[in-house]
Amino acid sequence: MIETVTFEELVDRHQGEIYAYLLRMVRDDGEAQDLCQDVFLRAYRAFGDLEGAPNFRAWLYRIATNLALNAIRHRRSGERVTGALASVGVTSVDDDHAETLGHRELLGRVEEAIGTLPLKQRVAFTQRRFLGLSYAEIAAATGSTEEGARANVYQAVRKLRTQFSAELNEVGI
Amino acid sequence: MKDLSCDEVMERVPALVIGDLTPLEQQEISLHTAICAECAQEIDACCVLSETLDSLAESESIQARAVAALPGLRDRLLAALPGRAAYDRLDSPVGPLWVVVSERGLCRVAFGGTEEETVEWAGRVGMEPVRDPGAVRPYAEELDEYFAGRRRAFDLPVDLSAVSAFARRVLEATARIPFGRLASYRDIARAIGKPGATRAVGNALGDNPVPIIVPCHRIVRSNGAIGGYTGGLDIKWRLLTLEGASLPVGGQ
Repeated sequence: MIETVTFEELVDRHQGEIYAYLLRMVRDDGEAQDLCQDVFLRAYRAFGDLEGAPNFRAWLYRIATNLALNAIRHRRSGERVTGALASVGVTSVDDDHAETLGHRELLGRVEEAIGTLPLKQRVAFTQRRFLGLSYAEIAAATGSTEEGARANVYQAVRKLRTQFSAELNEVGI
Repeated sequence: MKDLSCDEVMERVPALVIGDLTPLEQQEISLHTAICAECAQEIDACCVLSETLDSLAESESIQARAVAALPGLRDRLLAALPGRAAYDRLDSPVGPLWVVVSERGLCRVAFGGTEEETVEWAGRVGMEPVRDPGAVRPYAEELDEYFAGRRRAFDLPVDLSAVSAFARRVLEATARIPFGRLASYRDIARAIGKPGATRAVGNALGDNPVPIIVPCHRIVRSNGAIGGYTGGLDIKWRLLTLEGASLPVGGQ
């Protein structure tokens, strides 16, 4: 049936970025894979009811965001994913960006700090800075306004800047 | 180009780190930092933060893990998708019919009833119901031809995957009874190699998901009584009359 083919195209087009997004959010391959499957199952169920020409990308990010936030909220305290953290980004950045041990450490700590941002800020920041979504897309994906999305992203930056005040000035000199 | 105050420069810091500033807006910051050491230091620090975020964004680890996981993920996802149950309501000489079609073929014909019942049925057999007249139309056309007396057998595929293996054998045997002919429950029991299973055959036919197309209306009692029918005996009589069957004289 036509819808099925189109849905498969949707999977082929967006599964990679949605998976990468979930991986950034939950930082665990197995959990991200389960969530990714759930995202597309939900999308499939709603697919037949979509009308007009929706922005599929923002729509998928919205589903992914809801599921990722649920997963993060339901994760029992003390059951934080460690280990996975060290392997995300930090170990494989190219030499230009990680000349010094200090910079490598900073990368790991900034990444960890992003993981502890308030969820709204973390979602908007990750979508904008790492995935390149527009503010309109972030607003659609998070059910907020463009102004709200922008405010969350900027607030996240201010927090990171404050948190790493000393380190950033040091490296910068 | 505008002369910025220190406060205005600080206001632009998040946009700078995120990469939201236009070249002109960036130049305005440079113009200010050339003459303000304090802001210059702050902007330098923000550039370090921005570079750090670039490093994280370009993380090969995330990309590599995504690329490695994708093929398996795609197969797993497509295998987990529930079948699609395209359904629609048709009008017929024996009243409204709710017809459901899967990717594999016709899987349900219900006499009367409501849309909700059809949707519930799809859920029970693990399918996703979608009202889709286009997918049902070819079946509607064959049914129309049948009711108009222009068709004696149905050609489109039937999907019996939702019924048990036993019931499937009963229905397949029933589907071989020619147009206008009659058979008994016992005939079907014999045909599937279970001569003692007359009652089970009756039950399987009572649950026939695709009446008319699998012609359980052609099954009567071995004593000549018309037997039961899911859609009601009135419909059974009308179908047999339409087919010009020699009706059992024993009546009900």
